[in-house]
Amino acid sequence: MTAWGYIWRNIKHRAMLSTLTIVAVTVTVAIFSLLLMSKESIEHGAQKGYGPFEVVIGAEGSEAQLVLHTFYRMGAPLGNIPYELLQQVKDSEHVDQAFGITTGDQYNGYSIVGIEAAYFGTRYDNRALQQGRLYQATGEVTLGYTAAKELGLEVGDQFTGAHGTVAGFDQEEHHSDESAHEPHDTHHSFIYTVVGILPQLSNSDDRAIFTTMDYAWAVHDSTEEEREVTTIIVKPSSLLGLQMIKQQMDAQSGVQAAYSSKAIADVLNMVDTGSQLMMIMLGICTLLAATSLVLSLVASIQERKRDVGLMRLVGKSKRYILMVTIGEGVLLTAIGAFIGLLAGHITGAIISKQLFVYAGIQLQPWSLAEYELLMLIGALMLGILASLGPALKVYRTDPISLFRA
Amino acid sequence: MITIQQLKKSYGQQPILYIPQWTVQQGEQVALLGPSGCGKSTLLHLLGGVLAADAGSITINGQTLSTMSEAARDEFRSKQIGYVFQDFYLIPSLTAKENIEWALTSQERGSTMKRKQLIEQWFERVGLSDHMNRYPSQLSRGQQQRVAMIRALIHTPPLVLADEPTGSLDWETASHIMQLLLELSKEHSMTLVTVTHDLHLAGLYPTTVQMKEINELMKLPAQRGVLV
Repeated sequence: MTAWGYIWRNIKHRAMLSTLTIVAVTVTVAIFSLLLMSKESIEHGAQKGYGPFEVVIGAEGSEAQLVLHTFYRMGAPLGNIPYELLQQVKDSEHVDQAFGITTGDQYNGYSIVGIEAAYFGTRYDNRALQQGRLYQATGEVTLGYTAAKELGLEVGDQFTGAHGTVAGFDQEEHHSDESAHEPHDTHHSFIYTVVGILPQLSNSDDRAIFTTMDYAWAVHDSTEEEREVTTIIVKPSSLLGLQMIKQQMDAQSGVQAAYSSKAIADVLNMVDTGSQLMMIMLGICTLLAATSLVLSLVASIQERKRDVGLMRLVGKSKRYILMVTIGEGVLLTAIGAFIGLLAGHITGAIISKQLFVYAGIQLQPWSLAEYELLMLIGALMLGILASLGPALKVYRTDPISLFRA
Repeated sequence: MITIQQLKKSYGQQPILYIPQWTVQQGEQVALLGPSGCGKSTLLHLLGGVLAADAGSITINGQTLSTMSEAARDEFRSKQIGYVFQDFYLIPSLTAKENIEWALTSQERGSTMKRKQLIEQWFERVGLSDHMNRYPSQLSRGQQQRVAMIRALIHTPPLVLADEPTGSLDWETASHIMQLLLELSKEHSMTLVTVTHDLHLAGLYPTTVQMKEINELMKLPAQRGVLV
């Protein structure tokens, strides 16, 4: 019988205690794994979330809110800015390309975003659509990949939208009810027709319904003077241009320009702070798992003191005893860590769809996140460290005293 | 052959053993008798290399234990000595057969097939062929001691040390077990040193030695401190 065979039989013999130890390690590793996956996804999503559009122009207020609403469809919009500003920005020598965005309506929880169709060519290099074509006329829509899937819409289908952005849906719905009797509200008579479905882009564009920028004006019967846009996204012509646009826009009353990367970095810092808090909680979990492992091994050794004495008396070396004692802790940790990793990724796969629909976080459950291998090595090292104390205690004990225990 | 010369052992300040000279011939079967605390078990553990002597020497088949390192004594014990205990000390997580396999791992016992055959032969010899796959908790005390005897003898060590091997058994079973131990050690020409306090069972042995015959401290109890 090999040393590993002997270890395995001992683990099985103490099934309850072994299971509890494995569960403690499993839960800790699974949560760690999910957190690493989420963190990587958030960072990955944030980095590629704004494409080449380094500047966002919108109404005055929080820069983070402006950028998050524009690129991630999160939170409420700050307000609108005059349409004339879009032309002014487009004409600027510091601007390579600029697109106005109108928002304010939604369909079953998915934002209807008005933007020039040329946006897709600039951002996604004219990638082929999954179905149909890009919108051209007012009332035509092209659906994001997830939106199409979740709403069950196909090319040719028609629907009517509702007033209110997704984040402010309840509040806006109430407002909509109040104003339902107003003669100019045409939400329920403005029909959208699906003309295409975008490919999977793995960002928030998957969760939007795209149409022409003028839909908002058509829905609300806005006159030419009343036309507004929610935000303008800008691809600057140069680094200097980037700074010039911001200065020019910030100088205007009621308007601000935000650097996309800076606002995202600020948000990521907040996420990092949240992650650090989570890490502290996980640190406590890890401590509990390690304590459970130590207690399990101490109990195991107490239970097997005579076995260890016997090992010495039948001529098993101290090295062998050290190996089987540490080996038991390492094996328990390894089993827990492996199941934990598997459980973390399976949980990730189960929740990934919902997480993307509700939070825009796209988990990659079937690939190892950065640091996950380190986490596994760390877990095994912890297993060795936790086993070392009880193992050394037995290792240093005189066999006769163990035998008399 | 076992040769002891000027052997001394104390526990702290308490001298327990002083044997000027004692010899056991190869293949001899010796019962060591004496009251509690007379040093019987201490002598057994000194012979087994589990305890180190304070002074003097123990030579077993030409190898002197006192000059060996602890690791060398572990190695020596695994090959040269078989231990039988009062409380059997079978590993509860292993079946009877696995208890033997586990103890055999470090021995040179040939191929897996040969090892399996050897184990089966020994179980058959002690009348436990049908109990090989049972756990210790599923065996009677007498059966457990027979399994423990296989573990001690299967690698045919030149020396077998038995510490009150029948102390926890009823008289009939004890008698049967002691007889079996004598037969098995004789079949394989092993030297057998058994510690017992049972005069009747000791009577089954060809040689009986009272501890007071060899331990000088028992002859002069009032002068123990002076002698060591």
